[in-house]
Amino acid sequence: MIGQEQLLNDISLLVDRDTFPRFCILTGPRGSGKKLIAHHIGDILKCTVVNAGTTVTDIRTVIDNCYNLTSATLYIMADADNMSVQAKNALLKVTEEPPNRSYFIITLEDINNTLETIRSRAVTFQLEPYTPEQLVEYAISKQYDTDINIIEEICDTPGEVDTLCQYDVPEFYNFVNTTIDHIATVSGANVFKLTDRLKLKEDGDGYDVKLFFKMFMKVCWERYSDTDDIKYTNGVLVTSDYLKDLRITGISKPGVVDLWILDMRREWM
Amino acid sequence: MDATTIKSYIQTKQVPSFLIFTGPEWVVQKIYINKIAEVMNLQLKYIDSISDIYASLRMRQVFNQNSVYVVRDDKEITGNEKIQEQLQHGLLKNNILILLLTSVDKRTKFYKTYKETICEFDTLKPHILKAYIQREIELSDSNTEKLMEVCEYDYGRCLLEIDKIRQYGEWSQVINDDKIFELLLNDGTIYTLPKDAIFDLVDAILDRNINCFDLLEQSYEVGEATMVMLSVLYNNTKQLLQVQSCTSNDISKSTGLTSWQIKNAQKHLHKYKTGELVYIMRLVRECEKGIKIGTYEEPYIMPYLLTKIL
Repeated sequence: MIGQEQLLNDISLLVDRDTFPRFCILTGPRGSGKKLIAHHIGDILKCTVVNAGTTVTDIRTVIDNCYNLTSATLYIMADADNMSVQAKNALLKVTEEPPNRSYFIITLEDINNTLETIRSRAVTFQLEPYTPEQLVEYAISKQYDTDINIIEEICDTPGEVDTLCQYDVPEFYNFVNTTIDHIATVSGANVFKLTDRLKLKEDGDGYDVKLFFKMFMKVCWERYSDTDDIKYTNGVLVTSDYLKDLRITGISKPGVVDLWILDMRREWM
Repeated sequence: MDATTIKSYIQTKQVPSFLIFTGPEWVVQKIYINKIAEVMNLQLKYIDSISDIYASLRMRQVFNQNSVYVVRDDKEITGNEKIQEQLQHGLLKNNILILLLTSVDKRTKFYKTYKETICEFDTLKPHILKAYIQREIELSDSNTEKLMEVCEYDYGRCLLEIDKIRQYGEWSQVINDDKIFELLLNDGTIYTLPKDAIFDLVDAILDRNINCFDLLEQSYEVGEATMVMLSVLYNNTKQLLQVQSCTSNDISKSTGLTSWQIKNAQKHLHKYKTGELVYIMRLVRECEKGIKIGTYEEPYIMPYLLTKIL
């Protein structure tokens, strides 16, 4: 694993002293390696690892099973940001007094996406941010041939590096340039067709919206450096606001992109 | 325990002193309660809580009138193990206590203890409901089925509508129940749930029609979620914006919308200026974001939105 040295050291120390908590929360942005670390914890605890779901039925199945364990078992409930209130309440009891031989880990993008009562029962481990050098090292270890400068400038997590390197990056770069050139000049009826090239649903095709916004900001900065035209800095400011909105759990991505388009047109027309 | 067991208790006149009824068919429960009181020759009394009669139950009374006591959702019983124990050990003497529960959590200790005492009156199967209805009123099979559908297979609601038919028959001297039913259904006296209320609501908003507030109430009645309303309003507004701002002859090619979406949008052209449509889109997104991050309370969003838009 690249990066997260301090976190992994802390975890090893707790395991060595036999004081690793029975219930913990791993938080970090999407693609930062939470599941990988959870599995690593399972390895060093020498547990059977069970990838449990986050629905209330899944949680109840976990509860039914965990009281009859014959060997150490780690239950991982990944991406629990959208866990229902019923599922969270079902989790409360078992995590207050975990049965012998059981460990529980939930992973969250945002610690606020769970109940205060669950947070109080768990030890929270926050993943460290990755440095650009670590992300480049990750890309090299995966033998990606994408431009290192682009990875350094727009990726924040190994997950984003993986996503970016799936694209034809020069084509992606050109698409962003075309968007900048035409977003304020095409007709209102046409402009929303931009969203056809973006991945607005989990199972959809297209460029990841977050990476698109970051690439957009990168290209705007490049153009500002070349032209000193203040409109490009305004473009960066508008886009960074919408980038923040994408962090809100359950926010409608199509809605965010639509309003971003309207605001960019308002700034640049 | 099921309703058949209760029937056999009634037939053998050996009704236990403590019964628990639950389930959606409250009218059927009431029929059984009345029958128990009749068969056991007891007075029927509805009480608010067992504490109303607790003192008199504990005292010896020379001239006591035994009764069937009916209480709904009494936490004194469901939450108090001491009272539950006393109920099991002769507190009621020759009285009968029927506890009605609106819902029962099957994970609770109370349910596990009284599982055998609880009778769940599930929604009546259609053929049984039909038989119940045709016992009350002479409707043809097709009209009976129509009535059941309109009342969403709820026996209580069916009885209310049957009452309207009877009242109208007495007033108008029309003898044929089928004719009365058809007449009342057509003129809206027999209440029909609005379908597709959410699309009617969005159409009314995009038409600047003040009736949208009534349609909002109807949408709430059918249980439409606020987020769904916001989503439909947003999508329709965006489509209208695209169609309204399209200068090309081939709208479908320019906008990427289907002909159905374009036709739908064209019904509302120019009721709002382009800037107003953009404002509506922003407002809807602001409301959605506010609900997600907790700054807005969901029940107040739609009225707020309609007021701002209109």
